[in-house]
Amino acid sequence: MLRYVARRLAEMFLALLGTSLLVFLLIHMIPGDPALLMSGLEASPEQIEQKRRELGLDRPLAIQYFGFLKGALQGDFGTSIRMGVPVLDEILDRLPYTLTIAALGTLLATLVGMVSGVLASVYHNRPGDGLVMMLALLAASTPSYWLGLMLMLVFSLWLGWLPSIGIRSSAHYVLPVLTLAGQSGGIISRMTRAAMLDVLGQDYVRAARARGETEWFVVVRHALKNALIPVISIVGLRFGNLLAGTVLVESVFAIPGVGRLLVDAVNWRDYPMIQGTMLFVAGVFVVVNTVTDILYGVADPRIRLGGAPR
Amino acid sequence: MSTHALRRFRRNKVAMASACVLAGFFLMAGLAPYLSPYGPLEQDLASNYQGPSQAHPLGTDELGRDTWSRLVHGSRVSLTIAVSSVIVGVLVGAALGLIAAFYGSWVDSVIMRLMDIMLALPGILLGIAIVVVLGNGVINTIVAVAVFSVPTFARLARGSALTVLGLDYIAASRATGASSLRILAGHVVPNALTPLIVQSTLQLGSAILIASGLSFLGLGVQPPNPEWGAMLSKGRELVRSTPVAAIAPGMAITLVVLSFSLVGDGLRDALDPKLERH
Repeated sequence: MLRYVARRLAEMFLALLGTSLLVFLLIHMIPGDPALLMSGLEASPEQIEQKRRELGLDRPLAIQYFGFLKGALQGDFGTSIRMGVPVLDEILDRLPYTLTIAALGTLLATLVGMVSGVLASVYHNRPGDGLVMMLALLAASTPSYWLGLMLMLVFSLWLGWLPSIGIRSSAHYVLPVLTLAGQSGGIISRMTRAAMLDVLGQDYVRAARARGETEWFVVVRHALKNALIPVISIVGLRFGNLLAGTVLVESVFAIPGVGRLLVDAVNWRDYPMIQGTMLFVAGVFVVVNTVTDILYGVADPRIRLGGAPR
Repeated sequence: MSTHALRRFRRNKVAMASACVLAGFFLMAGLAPYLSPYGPLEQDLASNYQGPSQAHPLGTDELGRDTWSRLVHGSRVSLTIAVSSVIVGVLVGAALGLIAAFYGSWVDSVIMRLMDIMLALPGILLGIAIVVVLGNGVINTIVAVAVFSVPTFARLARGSALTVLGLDYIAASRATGASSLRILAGHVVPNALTPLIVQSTLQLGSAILIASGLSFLGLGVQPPNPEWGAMLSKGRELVRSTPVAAIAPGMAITLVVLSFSLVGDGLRDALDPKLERH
């Protein structure tokens, strides 16, 4: 177990290094002078020169990268050109909105996806199964930003039940969370059904049925426990995806979260902010995936012992 | 596709219906100028924010442009981006995957670790990163979506190549003096083709979702170009004023993405009957 965790953590650090290198190179791949880019268009030649020295642009690329990495590790992501505040402070300011929406979205998607997936597998090949699977595929195919606009149209403009934009009260969270959960709910539902059907077809389930146990006992006690394993890994992956997906949802509902921060930064060419938000979101994504992998190993000994799950 | 596979695909009603829907959209893209009563950029400020009428079946937007005409021309942009980005993605990805599998050792490690890092980033984030470097526009959106597809195809190609390369007949082929190129072209590529075709079809849906998402954010295809996502970039105002103009592009995206998924599933079942179908 310890060896498995250690290997996962080592892989995580490798992935984090890779993403940080990618994000660092991003600014250097943009045509133009990084010092000019990093100090904004209105900067004076002296300011640009100072920025150049500050960034160490006269030094080799590798040394610059280690400087960037050292800063990032100490929580120094640079200063926003547009807002003049430290990038990390701004991110942490806005993080609660994004995190709440992503977490609630994952929870909702998991709940709805798993329940509908289990029901579809139990009623396998009957009309209900087909209907649930069609709905799940439809949900997975709908662009989240459009789903958001449609929910806004129905629930705030036509019915007037919920507020449309902003994030001032808990009612403001309902539509963004529903929007974010749609796609993932569909994916989790399909995964759960497939995993359940896999397990329900195995001998030990047949044996349990032959012993005369009730169908629900077989489904919940025997099948669900084992079907849960592949589902966990998908749920972890979805959380990371939803965190990035808030980029779109926050734009629809005008929520001042981290996703909106990134899009605004791109539009304003606020390069330190782009670098910081990208690094932050990608970093969280990598860490969440690692935690999921480790949980996956805890739940299924076959994985941590190096064998592949059947 | 063999005649057997074709017959199996034809018997799959859902896949056939989806294929017809897609054919309809491609036809729409091809015949766009003949199907649209107005030009996609033609403004008529006197009749903006109109609901559906005989003159404008899907109403007009904030600049009085005909939504139906824009939707029809938008199918050209959206489908072009999806198809060309997946073609680039599958060519580059498959080439990288085959090289990794064929040469092994450090070449394999370097390529696949790079793919892992790319897969470690959520698609939309990778897309934004590329747009930051290259700038926006149709071509750069295609590049962004292609880069997003590369790792998936690389893994797939490497996987199927490795299975084939381990088989006895490859060793036999080598023993009879076949060149590396001959083994690749004659044995490895044909075996990797089926999964690549299936994945390409599925990937077309994801490509449309990512590309239209970038354009919705104002980072991909730029207005006034009638790309479906870009048509929704003023979504909140449209929803308030002319809901039809906001409903139509999203429905088109959903329908196309859904159809690509169903056709992809159908192709997989038809091309690989060994696969157990639940």
